[in-house]
Amino acid sequence: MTVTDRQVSVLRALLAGDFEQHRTLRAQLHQEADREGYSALIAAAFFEAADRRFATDHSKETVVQFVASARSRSDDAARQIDPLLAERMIQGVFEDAAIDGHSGQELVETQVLLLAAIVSETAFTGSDLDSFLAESRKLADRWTG
Amino acid sequence: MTELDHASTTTATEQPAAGDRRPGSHDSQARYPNGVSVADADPGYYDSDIRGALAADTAPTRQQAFRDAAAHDQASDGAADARRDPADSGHDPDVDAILHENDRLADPRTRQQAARDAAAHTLPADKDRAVSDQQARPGSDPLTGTAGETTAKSADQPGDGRSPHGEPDREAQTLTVPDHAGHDLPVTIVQVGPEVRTLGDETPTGIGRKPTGGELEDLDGDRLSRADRFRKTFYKQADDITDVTEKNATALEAFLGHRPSGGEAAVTGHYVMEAPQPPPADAGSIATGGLVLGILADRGIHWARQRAKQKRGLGE
Repeated sequence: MTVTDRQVSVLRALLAGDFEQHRTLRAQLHQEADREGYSALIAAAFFEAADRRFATDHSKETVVQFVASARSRSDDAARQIDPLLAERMIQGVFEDAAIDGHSGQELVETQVLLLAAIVSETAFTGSDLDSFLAESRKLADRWTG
Repeated sequence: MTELDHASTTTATEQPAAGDRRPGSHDSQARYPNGVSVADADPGYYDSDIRGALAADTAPTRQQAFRDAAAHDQASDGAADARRDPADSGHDPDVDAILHENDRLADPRTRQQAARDAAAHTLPADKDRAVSDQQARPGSDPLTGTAGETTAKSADQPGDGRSPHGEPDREAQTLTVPDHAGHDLPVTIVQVGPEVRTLGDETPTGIGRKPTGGELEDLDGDRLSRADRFRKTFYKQADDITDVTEKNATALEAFLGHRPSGGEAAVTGHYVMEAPQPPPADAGSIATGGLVLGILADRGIHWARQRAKQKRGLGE
């Protein structure tokens, strides 16, 4: 199962801040057929973004500070982001980390929120976003292939 | 020829041992052990006609030409008293030259001796090390690739880190690095301090082994390894992929709604748009549509007639 153009377009509209477009495209996703590819694309995009964001410094202090900053952006963010899970998820990009008792839905939701938090710090141009999503798609294809 | 005739009458002599043989055929050696034939020694050997022919023939024979050349060589060497006729000496100069051509070469040396001599021509510090190593390990052979061991051993030896000449020792260590096949490869790392640099030596100091091509590939391999490890722990399929962003829409808009300007805030990508298509018309739908149109038309006509009657009634 490979990542489709439609799945990439849905995530691209979200990260570009075009929420109306994102809603329209999201409605076209098939719950069963797109589940694996879209979940893998979000996880791979988070890995790529976190790998770039924390490449030079992924110390615990830096990670904790970033998660706290992300949760402070809105009440919904503070409510939806589990700080312990978020910190371990970022550290899991660079080293072994273990989590227990979290469902796939929780993982993907946390990943998409952290992905949005990282992307919000970055001034992505259209080509930058395309390149970023291309790398993410490649990794997701590797995972699901 | 008379000489050939004479040869046929000469009695055969006993052949010398193989080691005593000299160049030339066995017959000529047997007949002329001193290299001088009977005809050469006795001018009266020939009859008068042949003597006359020989006297008229002024062209030098090969033997005469050789004697002249040998005499010229001896004269040029300033050894006039040593001028001897090769035929009289009983020695073939060609053979003598072959036997003595190696006289001016150096005495043969063993490989160990050659190594010591080579070490004697190196830097003084290296010379001292090489000699001491040879004395410490007389069985070692520097020509068989043990130079690296020598360097490593000298660095491993306890001391103050300086050679007897006061020069700082070169730091060396041997590491084991796995290759692509998983085999251990010994790698000797020598770090040369700035004190031992020579003029024109621009080798960087303090830098160890450069990464190999395989290690450069491993840099990307390490990232893929981390990605695969991350997948095992943090990748699971969502139960509801549309709810992932729908449920967190407010939080996502808080992150992405007011992003720093990157020059292209608007999305310019090519979306896969699939507008919903109206269902195709079936027979029932067409009949229903026709009935509705008919009723509407009937009501319209009825309304128009009523309006016409009202106008006529008002007119009358």
